[in-house]
Amino acid sequence: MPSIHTHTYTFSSPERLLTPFVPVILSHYTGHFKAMVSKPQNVFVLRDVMANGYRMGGGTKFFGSKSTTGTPFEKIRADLQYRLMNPEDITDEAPSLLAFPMLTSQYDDGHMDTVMSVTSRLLPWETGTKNEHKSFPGGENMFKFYNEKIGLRQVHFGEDIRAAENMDYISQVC
Amino acid sequence: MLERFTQVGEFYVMTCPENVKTGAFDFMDILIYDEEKDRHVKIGFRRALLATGMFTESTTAGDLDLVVTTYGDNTDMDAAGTKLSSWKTNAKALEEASRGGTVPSADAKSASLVLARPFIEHAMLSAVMAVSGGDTGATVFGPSDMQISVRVASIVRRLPVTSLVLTLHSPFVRRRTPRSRQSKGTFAFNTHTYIHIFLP
Repeated sequence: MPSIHTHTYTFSSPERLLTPFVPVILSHYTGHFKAMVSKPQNVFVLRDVMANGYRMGGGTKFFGSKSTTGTPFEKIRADLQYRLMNPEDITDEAPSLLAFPMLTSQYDDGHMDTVMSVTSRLLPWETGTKNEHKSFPGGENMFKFYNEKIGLRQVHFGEDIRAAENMDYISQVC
Repeated sequence: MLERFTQVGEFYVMTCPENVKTGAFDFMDILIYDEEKDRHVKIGFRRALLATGMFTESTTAGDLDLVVTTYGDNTDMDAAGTKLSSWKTNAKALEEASRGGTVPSADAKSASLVLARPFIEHAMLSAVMAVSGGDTGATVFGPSDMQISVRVASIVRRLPVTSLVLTLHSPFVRRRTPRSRQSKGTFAFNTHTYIHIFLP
């Protein structure tokens, strides 16, 4: 809801300029407006129809290559945490890639030919009685292993789910 | 247009080709696009194996053989009970075959690798299209408020410097502007006449 504020300063004569004090008229206007759609069929939202610039995450550096101390998994975890905690830091080329072991048979079975989830969220067709990460390289056991070692669950920490569902926009241009 | 930052992810699978012949090198490497550099970059299988955390580099100078770690060796990777330790052995053999130009064994070919790029972020533009007219909807006005007040404020603090100088030189001011300090240059041009012309 927009809010409009107007400030106006007035001086009646040149003599007023010489006086130490002058009256200042201040006005504030606040209005509340809301667009109500009564026929949603008449409104069409074109989400993400055009790219307006690259930000980060499309490089070829591996997570774990930036940190210098710790075990291999501690380095990957540290790089992942830095990436998630500093989303505005684009001063340096940030790591972008994760690597996971996989058996060729899993690829041949068709579990890896469309989509995979590297986080704690399951794919729609994975939810059920077992709730297993069949699409993760190595399956559920390997997801648990990597989740414990590098903290894959943290990927969604701090996410504003309501904003994502409501398609909230960060800024307006043009 | 509306703008927001959107993340997408993608993954690549590194599997062994079917018909590897003797003398073929680096057959496990792939070429992917690097948006940071705006060019394609070669991802070596050895480098990718190191990034899994399951291997470390040899401490011996010049030794390219990977050192296998023991992390999660007993983890099952499929329903048949294939252990992670077995994958490590096969992946190491596959890397050595790729580096040495030899034909990998069937067991070595069972090791694959997945590269995931989970946080590719772009500024994306969106748009909303609607049919014009009252049939679609309306803009509803809620409560509004207008406040007007008069406040006394000091003019001297609000005036810019140029206005302040103008005020001092105006006829309403009786005090004269003090003379500037004479410089060596002004002495050379009969300074008294020169200065008085510009004094108010």
